[in-house]
Amino acid sequence: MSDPSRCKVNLVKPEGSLSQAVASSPGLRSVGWKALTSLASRLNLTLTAEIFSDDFPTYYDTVPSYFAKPGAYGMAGVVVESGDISLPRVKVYHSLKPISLCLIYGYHANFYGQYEVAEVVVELMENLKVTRLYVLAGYALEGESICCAASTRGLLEEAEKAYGLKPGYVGPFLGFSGLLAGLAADRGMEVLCLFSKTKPNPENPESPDLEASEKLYKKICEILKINSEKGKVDS
Amino acid sequence: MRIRWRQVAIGDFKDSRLIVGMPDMGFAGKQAVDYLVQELKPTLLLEAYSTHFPAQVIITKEGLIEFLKCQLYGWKNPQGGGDVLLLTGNAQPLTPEGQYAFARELLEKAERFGVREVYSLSGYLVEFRPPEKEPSIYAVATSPELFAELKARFGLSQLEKGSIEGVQGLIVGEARVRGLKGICLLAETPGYSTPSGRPIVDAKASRALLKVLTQILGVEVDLSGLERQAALTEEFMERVARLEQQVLEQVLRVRPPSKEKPYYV
Repeated sequence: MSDPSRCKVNLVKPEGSLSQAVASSPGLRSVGWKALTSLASRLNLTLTAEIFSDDFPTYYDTVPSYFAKPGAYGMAGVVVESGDISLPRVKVYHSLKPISLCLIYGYHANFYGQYEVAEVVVELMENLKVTRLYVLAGYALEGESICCAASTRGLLEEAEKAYGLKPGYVGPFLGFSGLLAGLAADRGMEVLCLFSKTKPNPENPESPDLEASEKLYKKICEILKINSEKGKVDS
Repeated sequence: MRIRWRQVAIGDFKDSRLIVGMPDMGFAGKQAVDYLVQELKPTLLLEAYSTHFPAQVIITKEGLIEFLKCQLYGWKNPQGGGDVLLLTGNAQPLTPEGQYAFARELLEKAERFGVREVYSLSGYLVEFRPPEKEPSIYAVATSPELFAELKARFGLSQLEKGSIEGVQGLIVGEARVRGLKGICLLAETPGYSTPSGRPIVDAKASRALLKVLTQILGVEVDLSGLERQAALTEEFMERVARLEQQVLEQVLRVRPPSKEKPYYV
């Protein structure tokens, strides 16, 4: 793209290669987001990169936040957590032991920044030599408690054979996580999306469903061969 | 400029005609170009996506992740008489800025493949099309002379007034600015969609577009593969027409039309 980048990346490259990554973002009933947070609690994480964008609002014009539309710019601002302020950002962490893994905490840009942010994150993963990406999210259709989607038929076969996962969700996968999965797959990365079944809450679409997150957390731990016992999805 | 192009193959094409079929009303134009791709087996030349595409991917029935992108194919015409470039995709930019950028860049690329004429295929929304009726085809062209020729040779009706939204319309306007010949063919479609808002493919409209287009291009394409899909479209539209009639009758039973004139507005 010839436009100057509206993204800034602060990167501290880890000493070691990271072949796998797990990503999520605040989404449907925060199912994937909470599972990712629980996974993080089981690992010794170091901050690898922060990605800032001029298209990250703190107030969204759309509900839910990941439903980006032209003209819905939102409002920029700072995030306040425990009295501390910070700019909204995508955070990338890594762990080298007991497992070499990259964790991506996504953030939804408005319509004008979604692709650029996802491109920057995919380029970062390429830089870190990530070859397989797991994306965690929720879905709200009848079906298995956890279903999957993948970048290739081979990976779908592997997911069914090794982890009993089958496709189940059909339709759009919106926002940061969906685009990241699509772009990574388009660039030849192996991508496996895990969707945990939840019930939509139209009044507050991102309100957590801890039960669905717990199931997803256990499944990703099984896939990564991490002991899930001590971790627990909490609110 | 917010379009990313990826070159997949190179090709040498001459006197090309560019056929554009983007997601449109009833997916009439897109389905028509997809069918040409399936039948002619052209070479994939370029892929593109835009930051102005919807921020999403599609998860297919098979469980595969489908990224939103457009593809430009090239087909060498073994008969001579001009090669064919085909542009299809599962999305188009959502903003005017993205649509202009996409149309202009597409024409720049097509000019490198020797394009001299641009044909855009699209659906034309009508309130109702009787299920048994063959969709009418309307046309607009970049010059009155070109339209007169189309009318004389193929009996096409002119779209007298209105606008053609999206890249499918814009591409013809941009072609005119560049001094290229451009024609937009529009097939009548009621543009039905599923309750969740997904458009129903109107294969009957696609078939009608292809019948005209293949004559104009002088390219023989077996359209029998579209017959089954067209029959399904017809069956679906018959069901919808029956349903609409039932709903109307129910509404009239519950609230018969008032005989009194309203006394205020």
